[in-house]
Amino acid sequence: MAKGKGRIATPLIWARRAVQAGFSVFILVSAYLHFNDKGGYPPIDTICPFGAVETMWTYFTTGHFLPKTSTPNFVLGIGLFIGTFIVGGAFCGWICPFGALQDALTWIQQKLRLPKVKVPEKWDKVLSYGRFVVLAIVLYMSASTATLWFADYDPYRAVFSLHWIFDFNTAAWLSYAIGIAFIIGGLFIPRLWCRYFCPLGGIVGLIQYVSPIKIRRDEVICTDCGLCDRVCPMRLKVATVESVSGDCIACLECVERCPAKGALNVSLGKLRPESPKEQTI
Amino acid sequence: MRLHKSVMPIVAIMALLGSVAVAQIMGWWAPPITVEEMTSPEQIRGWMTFQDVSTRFNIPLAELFQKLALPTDTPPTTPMREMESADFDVEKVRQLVEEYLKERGGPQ
Repeated sequence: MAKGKGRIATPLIWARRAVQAGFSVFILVSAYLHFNDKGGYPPIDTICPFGAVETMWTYFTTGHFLPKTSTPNFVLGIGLFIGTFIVGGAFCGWICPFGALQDALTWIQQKLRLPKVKVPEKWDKVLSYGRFVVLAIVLYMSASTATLWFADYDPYRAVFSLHWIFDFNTAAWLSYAIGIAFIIGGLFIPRLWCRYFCPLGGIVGLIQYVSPIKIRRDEVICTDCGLCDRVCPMRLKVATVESVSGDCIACLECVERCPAKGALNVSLGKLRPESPKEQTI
Repeated sequence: MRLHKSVMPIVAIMALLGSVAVAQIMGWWAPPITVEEMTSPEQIRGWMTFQDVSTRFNIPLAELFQKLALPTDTPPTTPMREMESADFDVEKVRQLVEEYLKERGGPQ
């Protein structure tokens, strides 16, 4: 195994954990205030960028938002898409609270030495299209029912809305079951929800193909040790491409752990002008 | 051109928070609203009670429950979100109040 920074957390990795924790706490406090403060704090559905995608059809065809959605959804949606156009999927790796929860589950898995389920490469590719299936279903059902249909199935909402504490309802058993299933699954498969089911992640993955700022590999410096492949929570093949795109969440684990200084870089455009046509993942 | 690696998260966070800041400056970011500040049915929220809606828009409770097809003995201090079901949601209340105000010709 190549020598590198191994599992030692660098300042940037600590910074990522702190930012993730900060956004997660913000969402949990918002959810708490929604149930316990009469000042009219909106539900967390109102401060989710995916709400913009869900309500878009209804808003532009009827002029009304879906219940529980409002202009903040569009504002956050626009902010997310601008960021993704420029730097790719950093939202998923640094901001999304459900991504943070899955990273925490992976940390627990490592500490408890639980077995890691390795999804075969072929299945990994096929299952990743599940995000677009979920997206298509959510868009169709949101438009046809004119409700926030996905709210009853969204594991992020099941966990972070705190309904299970302040408004427990046995009728919502499916929502709780989905939330629990992804928590358990996340203990064995890193970023299970992001890789195979997250509809917002699917959109982010498509947009970031055109992002000018990416993680790029300098094949002259790279020693082909493959450590970057092993530490990537999204199981991307970093070690064999020129630029990392598609499902990269910009967690920067590969850059931070790389033992060959300068082999993996965040860059605007190609690293070397003479590089052949970029091969991306 | 090589960039500092922290550019990726900084840009993503700035884009998100910057959008919120611009929206607040432009008045697009709706702040939390109180019952007293409510002036239109669009501002009705699920945490509000039937009593709040009745008082603010001057709709008799009995009439409100009847139009919403809810039992007349529903506690008026119930937050509306607690009554949500397949047949009832807050959007229904908004639409009903909007129609009621149109018929009556004003919020008061």
